[in-house]
Amino acid sequence: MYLIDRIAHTNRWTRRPTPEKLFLCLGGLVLCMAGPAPVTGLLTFAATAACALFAARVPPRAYAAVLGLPIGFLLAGLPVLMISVDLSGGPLLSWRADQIPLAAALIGRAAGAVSCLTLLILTTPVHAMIPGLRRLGLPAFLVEIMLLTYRMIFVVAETAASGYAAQAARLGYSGWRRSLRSLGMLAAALFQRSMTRARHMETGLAARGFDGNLAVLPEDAPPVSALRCAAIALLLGGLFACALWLESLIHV
Amino acid sequence: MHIMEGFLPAAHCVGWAAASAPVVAYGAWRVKKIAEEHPNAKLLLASSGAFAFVLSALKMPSVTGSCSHPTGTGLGAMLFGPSVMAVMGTIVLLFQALLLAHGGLTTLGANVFSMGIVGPFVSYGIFKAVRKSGGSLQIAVFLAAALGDFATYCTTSLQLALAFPDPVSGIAGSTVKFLGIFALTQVPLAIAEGLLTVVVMNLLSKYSEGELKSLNILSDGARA
Repeated sequence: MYLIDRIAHTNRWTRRPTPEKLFLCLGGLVLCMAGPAPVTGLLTFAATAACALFAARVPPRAYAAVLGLPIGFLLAGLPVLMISVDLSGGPLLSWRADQIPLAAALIGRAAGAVSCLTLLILTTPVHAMIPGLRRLGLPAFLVEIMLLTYRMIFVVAETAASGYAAQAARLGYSGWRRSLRSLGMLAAALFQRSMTRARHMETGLAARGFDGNLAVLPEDAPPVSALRCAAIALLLGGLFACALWLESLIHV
Repeated sequence: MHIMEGFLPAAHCVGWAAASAPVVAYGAWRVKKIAEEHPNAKLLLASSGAFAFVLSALKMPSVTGSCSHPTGTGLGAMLFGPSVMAVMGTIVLLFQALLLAHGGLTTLGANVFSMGIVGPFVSYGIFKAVRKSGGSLQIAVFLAAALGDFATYCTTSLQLALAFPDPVSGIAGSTVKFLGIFALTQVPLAIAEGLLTVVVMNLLSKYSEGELKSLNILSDGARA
């Protein structure tokens, strides 16, 4: 059901230290947001796509599938930018060629930012990222709730998938009215199952002396390598310098 | 409707995050209080969060034929109360970005504002108002869910318009443009989600009274 999660667990970068991947991807994200547009974004897009496809060996088809949805949103939003509407005296539409630089900047920034996010989520399992939020100052109880939520998502999703298949096999999704009714029944059943599951977990944990804290052993993460961090810093710096240089060429 | 990663300029990302932060922080403070009183509330919250996430990933039949997903904001607000929903909404939106690539990290603040705060608060307010003025449960649920979605869609359009004002007619014109483009998917979605939520709440009030009672510790008796 969740392509991204499957790839995140099975690529060559899965076991790499999470802080390094966060440094690369979030650094790239900041670069895209702050650097001169659109060149920074486009360069970052190329660099992160190369990292994903050649270094982490993410299957190209999966990579394209993950990138496809946001790109669709981007393409849907662009006409809105390029067509101007005049509201004084009835709506009047006009094509604005002078908006092209703005649209280009948006494409660059969004493409770069999306590919940084894609690289991060395709190479790093979510449960490896959440504990890092603790260091960003998020209270422990929230981090705990998030980890629990993450674990339960897959159980609930499996229940939903089997319920959906059973309903579909009985023609529950033939026609609009019936679909709505089936979906409502599915949602209600899911809610009830979720609550029942929480109650069972309560009972199970209470029998084991639960006092409100779920202590879990941290995974033994590989150590962060200073060399690789330096390489990432060099890459990000290089991208920024390249962008500034290209930008100066364009504006001569 | 999620705003994609990188779509908003940096200043807008920071601004919307700052606007959402106090509400989410208040919600988190309430969750902490609740978790201190009832240690089991953590499990309840986690399974509710997982439920909300999976619900938002289900495909919903839409009038125009385009597939769409229920947002679950209305249902969540009625089940958990709006301030707790702000926290859950933030968690769900973060997971949607990390597991489904819906939305993004830089636009998380803006998306939390429209889907985790405005939508649930509007839903909750309408639900309370209709129930108080003697409307039936079905009508209250339908209006709350549909108008909550509608409020979310208007907020998102406004957020996009503020970032990309029209060169001629400014922010107002741009809001009209975004409202117009997204009306194709969002208006049918609001109606479908309203109907869906009525079906769900009917079934829940019929068969899941015990489960609904267990939620009373989250929102102080918000439901009818």
